[in-house]
Amino acid sequence: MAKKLMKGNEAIAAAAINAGCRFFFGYPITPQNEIPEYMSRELPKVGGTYVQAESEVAAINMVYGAAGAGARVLTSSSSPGISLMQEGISYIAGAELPCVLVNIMRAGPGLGGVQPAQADYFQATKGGGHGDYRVLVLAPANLQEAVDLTQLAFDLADKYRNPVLVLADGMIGQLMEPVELSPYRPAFALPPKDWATTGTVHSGGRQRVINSLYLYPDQFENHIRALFRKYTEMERTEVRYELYNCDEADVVIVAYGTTSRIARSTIEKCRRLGLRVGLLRPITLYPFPLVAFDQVVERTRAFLVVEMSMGQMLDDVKIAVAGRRPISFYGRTGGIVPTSEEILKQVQELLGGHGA
Amino acid sequence: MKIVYEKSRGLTDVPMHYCPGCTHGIIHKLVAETLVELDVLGRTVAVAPVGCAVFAYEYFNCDAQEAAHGRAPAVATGIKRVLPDNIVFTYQGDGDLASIGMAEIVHAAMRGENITVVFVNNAIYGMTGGQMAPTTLVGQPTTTSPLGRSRLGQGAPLRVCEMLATIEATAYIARVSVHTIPRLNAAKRSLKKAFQMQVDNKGFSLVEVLSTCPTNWGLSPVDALRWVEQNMIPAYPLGVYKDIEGGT
Amino acid sequence: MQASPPSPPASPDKQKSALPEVIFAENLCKGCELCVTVCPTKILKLDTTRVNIRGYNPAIVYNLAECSGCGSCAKICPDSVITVRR
Repeated sequence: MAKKLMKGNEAIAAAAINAGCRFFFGYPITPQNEIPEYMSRELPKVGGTYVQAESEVAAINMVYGAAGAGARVLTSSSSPGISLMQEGISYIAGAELPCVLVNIMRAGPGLGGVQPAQADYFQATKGGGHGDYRVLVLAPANLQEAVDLTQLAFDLADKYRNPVLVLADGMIGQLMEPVELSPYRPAFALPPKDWATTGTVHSGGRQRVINSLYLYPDQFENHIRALFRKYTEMERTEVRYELYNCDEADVVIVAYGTTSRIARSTIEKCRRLGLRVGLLRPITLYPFPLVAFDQVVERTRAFLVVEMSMGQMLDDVKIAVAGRRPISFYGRTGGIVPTSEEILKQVQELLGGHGA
Repeated sequence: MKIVYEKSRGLTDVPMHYCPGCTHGIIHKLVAETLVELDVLGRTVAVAPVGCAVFAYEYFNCDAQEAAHGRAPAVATGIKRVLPDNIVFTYQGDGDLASIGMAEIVHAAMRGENITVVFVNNAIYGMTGGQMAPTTLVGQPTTTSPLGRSRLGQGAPLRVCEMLATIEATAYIARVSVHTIPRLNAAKRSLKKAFQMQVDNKGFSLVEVLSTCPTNWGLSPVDALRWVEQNMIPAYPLGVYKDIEGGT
Repeated sequence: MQASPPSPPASPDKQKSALPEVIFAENLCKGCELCVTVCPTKILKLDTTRVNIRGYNPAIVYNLAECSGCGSCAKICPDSVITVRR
């Protein structure tokens, strides 16, 4: 199948439609506006529905309703808008509904900047909204991966009846690269949506209720434990990561998304300088790839975590390394994207200043 | 012997938790009867609010979704866009609809969503223990307006029907009450009209029902009905505020 | 729905079949008196001699002979306690 040059935001939207998504509810926010715009053009062509909500708060609640009615549904936003969606995401997780969310991260906190950042890692992986739940988080590093992970996201959401978040940044959203949209097939067998509120006429009179209210603590604890059995299963079977050049690396850079691509350039520079540096690239941020660290920790001397933030994934790296090796951190924030030279300097300092 | 009145099969067998004399029970009955009489119960999806009626899904004998506070019109939008042949209604109190949910109801009306909204206005926040609502009357004491709602600093009540009637894409907006049998009968006719509008794909319909909260008004259920007549109706005139079919 | 015992019988000189039936699912009654208020012939009251399983004095018909079978009591009852046949 032919490759097509597309902008990241549009590629993600096209991937969603390819995976059978026919409903989008969203609100404009920089730097992801191409997603709602693309959806507003293309969804009607395939019999889908685009609704521009009055806010991200309304959008996520439309997602809840549509998901509860049994549809594959997408919403997208950027950091401040994802903040607004947190209540709805908590409800969606509590009510065990499937949906795909896209966060094209920009710099925060507050109104912040519109340039790329990775400062929503905590928001994405540590809850964001209230209560005991997790969101499965996928972090693409290039546009083909964004396409593939967006489609996988719908399958994972349906499999686990849980929100799945595609976490990208403004760079990925705005880049143009060639992407291939192969004909879609579910990645695995999917359960039927016999819980969807389509009317008691379809269930022999039996009421179906989508709800996250549990006033009796014993019932609620049981429900939450059931949610966490799903998350345990995710941790067991859905971890995804990439190891690059880690077989004999003195330093392993840990980075995801755009930062990991820049780190790859750094590694090429290191190779020419005779420095042995590898990359551990988490693809699922939740479940975090703890096992990847077990694979490389004995073969390396130190880890260098690089993020476009003040250090959020850093905390999970510390947990994963469990004190076995020293961990350094290099971060740029506020919308600054680090260069491969900056990262190279950090590596050189780590290795004792030897440049050759 | 013919049945003059019996419990609607649009309701489940679950005993209602509402306070004695609370008009929620009456309004639930009218909605349930309407759904049965229009023969749409099997394809209805209810959207429950946060408020005393948070358990509405226990009582309406149809599929339901529980919404976050104020978000029912957005949830209903999502459901109706996916299932346009289903009858989708929200059931909301005055905090849910006119406070936290003001944006959602206005925009669902703006978009002309083909849903029906049942708005239960009792001028107070019932479930949380009697705080001031956007619809609380000036001078009315509540737990957060202990000296009576003050025009200065706390404003004056929102008139939802009047506001929403100015929105172009609405189809039917009416205010009714259930505090006497004639008013109850008229309320049912309004609800039937509103749901029929949805069946006929005519657009957004809303029926505001003036209701009582005996517990938080500090009145007996019977006195609370009188309070509706004496205090609420002057502030919230009954009537049809919008009807694209030209009725009154 | 639990049916409670029917209301007190009519006066002996009236045919039973001429009178409406007003049946209370008494254990659902919350003693709110809305039915008492709307009855046009004022034949309802709370039975203050006893309480139901909820602790309320349940509503009863105390003079079925005057019942018109209008169903107003049943219509206004928020808890669907009353069934009326005629």
